[in-house]
Amino acid sequence: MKILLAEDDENILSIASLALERVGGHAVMTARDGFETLAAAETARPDLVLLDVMMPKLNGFDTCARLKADPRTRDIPVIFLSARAQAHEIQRGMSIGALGYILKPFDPMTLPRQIEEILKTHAAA
Amino acid sequence: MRRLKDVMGVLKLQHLRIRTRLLAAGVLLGALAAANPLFVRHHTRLLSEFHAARDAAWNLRHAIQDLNRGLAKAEAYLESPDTAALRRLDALTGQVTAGAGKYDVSASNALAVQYGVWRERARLAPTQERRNAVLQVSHLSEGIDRTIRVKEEESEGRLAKYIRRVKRASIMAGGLVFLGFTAFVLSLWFTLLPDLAALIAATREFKLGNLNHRADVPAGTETAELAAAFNEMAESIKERTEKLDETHRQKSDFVSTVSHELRTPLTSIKGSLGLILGGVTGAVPQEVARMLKITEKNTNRLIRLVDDVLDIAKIEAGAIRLKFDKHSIADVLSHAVQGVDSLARAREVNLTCDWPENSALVVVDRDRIEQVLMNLLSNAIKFTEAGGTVHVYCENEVADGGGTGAQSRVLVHVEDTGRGIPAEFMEQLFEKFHQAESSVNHAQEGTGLGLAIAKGLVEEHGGKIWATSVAGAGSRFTFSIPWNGTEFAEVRRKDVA
Repeated sequence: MKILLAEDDENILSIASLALERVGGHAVMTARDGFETLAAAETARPDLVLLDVMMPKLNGFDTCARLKADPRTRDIPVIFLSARAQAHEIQRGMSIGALGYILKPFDPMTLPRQIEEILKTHAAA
Repeated sequence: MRRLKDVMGVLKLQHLRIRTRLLAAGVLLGALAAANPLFVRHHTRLLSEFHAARDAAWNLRHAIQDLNRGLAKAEAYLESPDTAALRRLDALTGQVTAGAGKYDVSASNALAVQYGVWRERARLAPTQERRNAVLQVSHLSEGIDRTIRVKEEESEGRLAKYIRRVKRASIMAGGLVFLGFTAFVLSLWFTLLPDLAALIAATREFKLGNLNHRADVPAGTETAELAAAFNEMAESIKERTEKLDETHRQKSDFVSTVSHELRTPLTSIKGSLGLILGGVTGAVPQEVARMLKITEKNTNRLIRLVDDVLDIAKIEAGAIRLKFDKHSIADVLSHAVQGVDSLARAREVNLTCDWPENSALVVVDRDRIEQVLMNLLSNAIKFTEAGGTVHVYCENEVADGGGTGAQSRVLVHVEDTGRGIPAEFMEQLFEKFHQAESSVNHAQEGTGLGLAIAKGLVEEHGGKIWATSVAGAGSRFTFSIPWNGTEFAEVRRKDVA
């Protein structure tokens, strides 16, 4: 699976990329802010966007909203990966069109499985 | 009704103070009440005088009749003198002349004179002269009788006229009272009732959360003052609510920001440790792996502590937002049991659960109640030796409805056969950073906030939590959830663990 990982923290970006590539066996592209994410999603058409919330220039919620508003990127699944763990924030993410919400800190060894379970649950629904 | 309302408006009665209206009504009734005894006394006196006059006339006319009858027999009195009869005639004449004087003085005097003439001639004058004198007396007395009749008729006419006047005055007074009272009632109906309705509506709107709603009542009356006081209070409450909302929002933002700031570096730490220990970056020497496992364990503990501290901060700030929905308590129990199943297996503790045939349908934030259960279950498992048992069950407690105010509730129990809790620790069991287990190992596993959070979450649901324990034998933690007592869920036992 081709995954677009949007994360502004370099450390978390490295860890998550490593986990997705080495543990999950996925191809990973990276973006460091909302606008980069939009541009990458439009050109590369990934199979999944793993989106942080707190990003510079354009935050994750607004980025997701724009992805879903654009017919070219509307169908790309989005999963939030965020330390913003309040119930209303999770609810907001889901209401914008995300399939799931993975909280930080995450276990890198189980991150790929968590993503697969979310995609499977969505496909079954 | 609208015309009456318009009249009220024209008369500007809506601005008239209620106490003024009450005063006016009171003055009117007071005046009528004060005039009433005077009127009754005057009326009674007049009637008494009339009756007395009528009685006197009646007596006089009887006396005249007796006199005439007596005079008709006078001849016989003279033939064989009956002095008693003659003295009675004298008395009757005296009575008639005295009474007749009130009606006709000249006739009364003439009668007395003529009777005097007859008496003088009574025995000595020739019969015809005596008879002529008697006839004169009879004639005069009949004249007086007629005069009395005329006077009586005039008096009755005056009485009738007076009674008619009294009736008219009574009707007018009654009408005045009725109009006054009606005006008073209508003034209240069209002013006080709408004012009160406006106040009640404003109070209800405020209660429903419309903090901008104000009571609109025309100025001038006491209800306007009440409405003004209500509006001031509403404004004050609105300001305080807005300040409180702002404070809550700031607290919530703070909690959210702190949560994010703490979790971000912890993500890097946990993530890199996970990759290293998972072998992704290559083989790790055993001793290095052991050290890294200690780091990972404490990182996880730190993460739990961050979660718990943020939860407790939210509970204490009143910033915790629960998402209420109906759930089968059996489902919730079952899911929580599944969550700790692996922990129980790892510690070789038997984990069992049970619930009534009819699973109550409760209104809860499912995630939070599961959090409470997971906390109680993981504590129970941690403090139970291998081979021991942790049993979770619930019971439906229906209120008797006997007016005691007790509510139906569901009780959830987590019972273990662990080492129990010493009595000296029971009082502070649900306080922050209190841990009954003095062993360093167990203390390191927990944050000391779990039971405080459980208590906070249960109380946010309107329930209670408590514990009983016997040192060396085990403990039972129980919490209650309010329940309406009538709703049950279909329990499909094959779908739950």
